[in-house]
Amino acid sequence: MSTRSADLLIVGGGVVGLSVAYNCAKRGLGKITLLDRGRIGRGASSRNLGGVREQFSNEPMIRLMKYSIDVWEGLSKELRWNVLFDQKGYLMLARTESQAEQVKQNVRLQNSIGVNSVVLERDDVAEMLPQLKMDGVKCASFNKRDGAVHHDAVLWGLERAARRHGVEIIENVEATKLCTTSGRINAVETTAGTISTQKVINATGVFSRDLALTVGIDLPIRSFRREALVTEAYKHFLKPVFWDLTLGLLLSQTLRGEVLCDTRDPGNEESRDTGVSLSFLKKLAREVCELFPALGELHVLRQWSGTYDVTPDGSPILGESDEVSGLYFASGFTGHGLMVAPALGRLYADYLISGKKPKLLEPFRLSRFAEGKPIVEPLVAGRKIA
Amino acid sequence: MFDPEKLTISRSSKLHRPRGYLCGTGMCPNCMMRVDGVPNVRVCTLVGNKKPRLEIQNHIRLLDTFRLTQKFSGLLKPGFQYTHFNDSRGMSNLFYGFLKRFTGLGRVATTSKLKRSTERLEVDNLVIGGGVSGMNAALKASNTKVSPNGSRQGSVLLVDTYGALGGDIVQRWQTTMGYSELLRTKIEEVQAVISKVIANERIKCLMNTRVVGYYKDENTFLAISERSTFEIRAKNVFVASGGHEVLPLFPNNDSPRVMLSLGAQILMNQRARLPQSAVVLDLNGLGPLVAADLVERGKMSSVKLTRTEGFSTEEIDLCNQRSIEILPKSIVSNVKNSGSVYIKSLKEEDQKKYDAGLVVVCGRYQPNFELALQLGINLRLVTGTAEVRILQGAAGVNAVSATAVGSLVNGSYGLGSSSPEESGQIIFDITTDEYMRHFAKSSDSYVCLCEDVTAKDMYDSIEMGYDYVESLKRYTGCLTGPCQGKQCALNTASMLNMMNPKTSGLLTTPRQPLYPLPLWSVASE
Repeated sequence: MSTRSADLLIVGGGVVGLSVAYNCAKRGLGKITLLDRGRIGRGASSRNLGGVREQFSNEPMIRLMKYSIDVWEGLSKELRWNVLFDQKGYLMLARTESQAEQVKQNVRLQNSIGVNSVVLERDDVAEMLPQLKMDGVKCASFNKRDGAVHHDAVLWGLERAARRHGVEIIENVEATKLCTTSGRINAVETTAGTISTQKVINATGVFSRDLALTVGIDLPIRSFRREALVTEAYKHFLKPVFWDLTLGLLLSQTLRGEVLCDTRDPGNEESRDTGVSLSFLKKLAREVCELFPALGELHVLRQWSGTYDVTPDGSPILGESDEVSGLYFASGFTGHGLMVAPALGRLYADYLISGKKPKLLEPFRLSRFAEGKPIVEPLVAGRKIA
Repeated sequence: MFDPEKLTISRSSKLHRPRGYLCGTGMCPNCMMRVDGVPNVRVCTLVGNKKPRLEIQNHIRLLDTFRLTQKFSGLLKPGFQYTHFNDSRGMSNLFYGFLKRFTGLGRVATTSKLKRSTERLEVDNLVIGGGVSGMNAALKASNTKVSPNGSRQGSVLLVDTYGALGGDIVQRWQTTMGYSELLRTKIEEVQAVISKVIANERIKCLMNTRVVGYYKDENTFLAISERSTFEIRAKNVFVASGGHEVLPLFPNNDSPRVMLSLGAQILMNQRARLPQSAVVLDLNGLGPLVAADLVERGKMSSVKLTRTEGFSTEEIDLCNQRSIEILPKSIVSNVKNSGSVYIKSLKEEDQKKYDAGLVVVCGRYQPNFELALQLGINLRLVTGTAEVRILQGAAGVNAVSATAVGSLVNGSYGLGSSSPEESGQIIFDITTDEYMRHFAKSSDSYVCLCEDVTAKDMYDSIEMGYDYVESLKRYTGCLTGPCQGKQCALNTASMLNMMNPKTSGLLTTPRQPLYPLPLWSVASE
């Protein structure tokens, strides 16, 4: 690769980058190249638990996810690849008065935007989760349109579709520097030569800050290490995705019968280590035994970890840079990248073709922090937003 | 608990195939049963004399009657779930409902054991593995003065999964029998090392305990036994975890009639009643000795021995004395659940049918590389060496070990290879064996028993472009089931190497825990 060019260069072959690449290619945006420093989807995209939900506590994110679930529902057909989007519902459990109040408030907000989430009273919770110890349970919010996908299936489906539409995918090449001329992107230096392009999408997750710094933009994105584990396969017993707001404990049973588990784990700010820890294993085991006494018999099969790209308010940074034209951000998802990816692909395709920023993306501009208009989202699995 | 009349003790997760006792050491998914109401318990690793209530899992009468999934197994090849029912939401939802109805193994329990306390141990030297290498490492470490002032000799903790010291060789031949002078000498040498370890008061042994992983965050080894959970910290670590046998590829290699040779010998130790006849399939060189053992201790009346190579004169004598029929340069080409075993000569195309109650497989050894890898030891995949060795020296780790099963008969079984100064890497032999050459495209030879992945599935997936371990694992499900690759890593790596030598430089990241453990065992404060 000596001198190449592309009409659109996407840096980062995760689920977001692939979705944007596929949608733009499908809409005929010209020559599209996608770079990944390793293999496709080997970062957070293949290390997550696959949860998809509309149940957020701020309006812009609820609207974005509402649209995203519309896209998820038709995605398998569109990609000709079953991404295993199982709308099994998503339950958030409140065990304190303040949480119960927050849950009810969220449901009111969600309902006002057209999301049909409901508040479940104790009896309904007990019926839906027969293994749950009901001590101290106040209520829960539940949305049956939410659910989970199989992340690998999503990656493969998008990758195949992107290739079908002529996207050039280059693996094991890292973008090292963005190059500008009079405030415009004109090229990207990589470990395998320079690629000239007018438009770059920075979808590199935890690495997006490093890449943006090469043109002097300091994205307020930090890495945050998350751990998870999976159990052996059991006959299906857990219907919805379960999330306890007090402990941060999250359980989701896959179609294969394995139970994905994760919980809040402090002290992992700024870490990109993908090893696993004993402290997490013990904490999770204690919490499962406390909330679901019978599930203490579940066998832990393996632990792994990945990284969140977190922002100060817990919401992503999207849209074109004000300082450098031609540079688009698509990161800072704070653990919600997979669930918004299908919507984002379509919205970016509209955006790049029309040159007009879609309304759904507008609130997520980078300048919101300077303007003092953060989109605060406390419902982030594993982490408390300051 | 073994009953030759009822060989089927579990059902595989995807195709619902009948499965039976295989490895005897917790290295496969085959003996997972519901025990006293607790699901997914590996029956072979239960210790003690009590008679638990055993129930077969994943037993669905309709499927068992018609073997429906097996009939349509061609439709259930890897990736089938991605390519079907993607046209409409309604169909997808029906499909997911169907999957949820039939996937998974055991039903979850209604109660759980109480949490238990964890014992924390601090030692100078930790030796993982009580085979000859591990014992020699322990003896050597116990005689080494420890820093900082070097005034004191170090304490040693030796942890082993078996109930007795000596590793596989002692599990295989608990009694010294008269049939092989060479074997008796070997076992006497091992017994001498065992005596030295027992007599050494600085060496403490923790038996029936599995080290399930090294955790960097607390610089701790987590170990589990039936009664206790241990968190062990050590200044020096010796990984001598040896290896274990794996199944070669041949049609119906997952049949309940197929058993690994160590598993068969453990059954004989337990005085289990075995079927009257067996075919011994030899890939690791132990075949003649195992066949002789089946005659002597197993009281079998008819034993046949097949090997892809020829036999030495000593081996021929050993077999002739016990009326063991030897079939050199031949392979097992099929096993029927009814008890018919087909053996094919490598020279001629003809295939002969034999009746045998068991097929005892002396399989190739896959090194237990996982723990060493977690400690930062390099892994190298090679072809063309008969020996499997684990050596090393990463930061803070003085691991040594060797498993040289093939050379037991030639006389170098572990004894010579325990010098802590040696540094190196794990060498993983991924030579294509005769069975893989023959059955790489076979649609009824299983590479992965956990997820029912056949050789053809693997072959096709690699051809489709899933040609490095991580993608192949995610697409087919191999290496992700309850055995975590203990039965399939060798065959997976060999097949990748055979088809595309460029992509086989790496194995998957071995994740903790190395052996599945119940949540309650680590739930204490």
